Amino acid sequence: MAAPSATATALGTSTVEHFRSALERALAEADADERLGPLLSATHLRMRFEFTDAGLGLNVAAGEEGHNLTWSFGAATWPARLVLAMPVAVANRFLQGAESLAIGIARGQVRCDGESRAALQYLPATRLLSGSYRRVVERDFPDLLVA
Amino acid sequence: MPEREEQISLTEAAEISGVTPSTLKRWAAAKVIPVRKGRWTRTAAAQARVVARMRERGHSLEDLRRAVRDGRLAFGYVEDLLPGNRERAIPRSEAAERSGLEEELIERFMTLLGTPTALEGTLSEQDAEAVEEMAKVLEAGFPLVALLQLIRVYAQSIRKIAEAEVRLFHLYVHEPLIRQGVEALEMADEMEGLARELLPLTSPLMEYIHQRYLRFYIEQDVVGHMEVDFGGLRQLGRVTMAFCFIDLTGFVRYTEEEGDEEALDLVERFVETVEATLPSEALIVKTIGDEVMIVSPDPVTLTEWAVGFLALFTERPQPRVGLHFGKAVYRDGDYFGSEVNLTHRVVARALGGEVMITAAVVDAIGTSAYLEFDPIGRVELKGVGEPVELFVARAREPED
Repeated sequence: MAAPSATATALGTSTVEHFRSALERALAEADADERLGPLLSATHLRMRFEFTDAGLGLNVAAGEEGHNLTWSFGAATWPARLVLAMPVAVANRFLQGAESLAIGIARGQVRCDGESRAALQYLPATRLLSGSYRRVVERDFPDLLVA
Repeated sequence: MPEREEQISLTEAAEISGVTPSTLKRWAAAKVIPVRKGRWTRTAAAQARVVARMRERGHSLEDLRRAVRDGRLAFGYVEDLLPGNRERAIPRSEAAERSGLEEELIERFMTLLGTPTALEGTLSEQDAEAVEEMAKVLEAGFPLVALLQLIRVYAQSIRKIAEAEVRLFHLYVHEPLIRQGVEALEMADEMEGLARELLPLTSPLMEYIHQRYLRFYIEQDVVGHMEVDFGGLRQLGRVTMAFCFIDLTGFVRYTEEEGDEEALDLVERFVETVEATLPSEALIVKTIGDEVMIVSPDPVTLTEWAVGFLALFTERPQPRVGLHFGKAVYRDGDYFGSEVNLTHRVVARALGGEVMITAAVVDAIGTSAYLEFDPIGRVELKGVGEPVELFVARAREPED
């Protein structure tokens, strides 16, 4: 994982902390959601997000032992089938459903590495997280809210 | 426990089912319709109607008896939940008098709705009430030509919804019960119970989805009007849009090699991924097998989407895209015209992994910080008179 860039400093520590906390809470909500949790788990998710300007990585996988999802921040702990790398601002917009991932790729703001099959399997599932993330942001982190 | 169903006469059962009384008696004796101790009911008559259709299709009474025993002909619950027309038939002339509409127009409405009574010249009370509603829409000033299109779209869409509801109920409720060997009457009870719970939920759910989409398209329309006013693209009866076709190259071969289920699974995931990644202003018009038709008022974001989307696919079967910007006639929820046909020809010329676009798209985009266009020259396309100038769109290389 690369060290935080100059842009990360510009982002401000509180923004990155809020973003990380919002993600953490959204994942916890999705995991506990009776409808969403099993849907995400059924995709056998095994992917990693890299937030390039914050020196932050997130591993997300289908859960075990009573959990639908499992996740950890930090270095990659297992080989991901799909890696999405993007700045925090783009990720924040994408996770709120306000940014098209494909457009981000065309604009060079998002990098996607992995198998095509994994992209087909995981991207619609990732979109499912938007509802939880948006709710958390609206409720707890209005500074991250995008129109 | 459901209430005991009202008894009807054999003559009434014959009228409802369209089967003669003597045949009904014979079928009851053969146990292909549920008549206990000579007690005729609407459920039995409804099942007789299904049996008649099955007999017309060449099924023997023995086949039907087995189907009844296995619960495969469980149908009677529908009669309770969705009672058919039990009122008198209303002549078209009476409906015309009530609504103030011409008989010919009423016939046209009924034909569009796929109502069988259109051919018989009579309407049910429900049909007549619907005609009165349509008359009110016209009285309010909505043009007839638009109403006719709207009715056709309603009928086509709702027919698809009803078909999906029935097929999915069959696949995920009826079939599992049959596989479990549940006894026929118990199966009918279970299905009725579930259908009774589900049915009242469908209308509010559809209303909710309808309102959400209405709001979305009204907003789109407002934006579209403003852009047309500024850009001078107005032309009566036509809309200016970016049209896009995307499909999977080598899909036929993939199906042969991997099998139907795997191929269907791929197509479903492909369409879901298209949907999940499209910009909010773009929308899927239709899917035909592995092909998806998309429209957007914004050629810039749609081209960017296409370039970024194809970058997700490094393995076969790779998608390819054809894009054009032009005018088309919008009718019945779809887009028609030579410019749509041209877009279809453009995608046919693209290779897997390529976004092929016309000069109209390049002109509409102008200078882009993110995209580059490689000209491939003027290309003859099947069914298009003049050769068409085509380009391959790709992401601009980052500057060092």
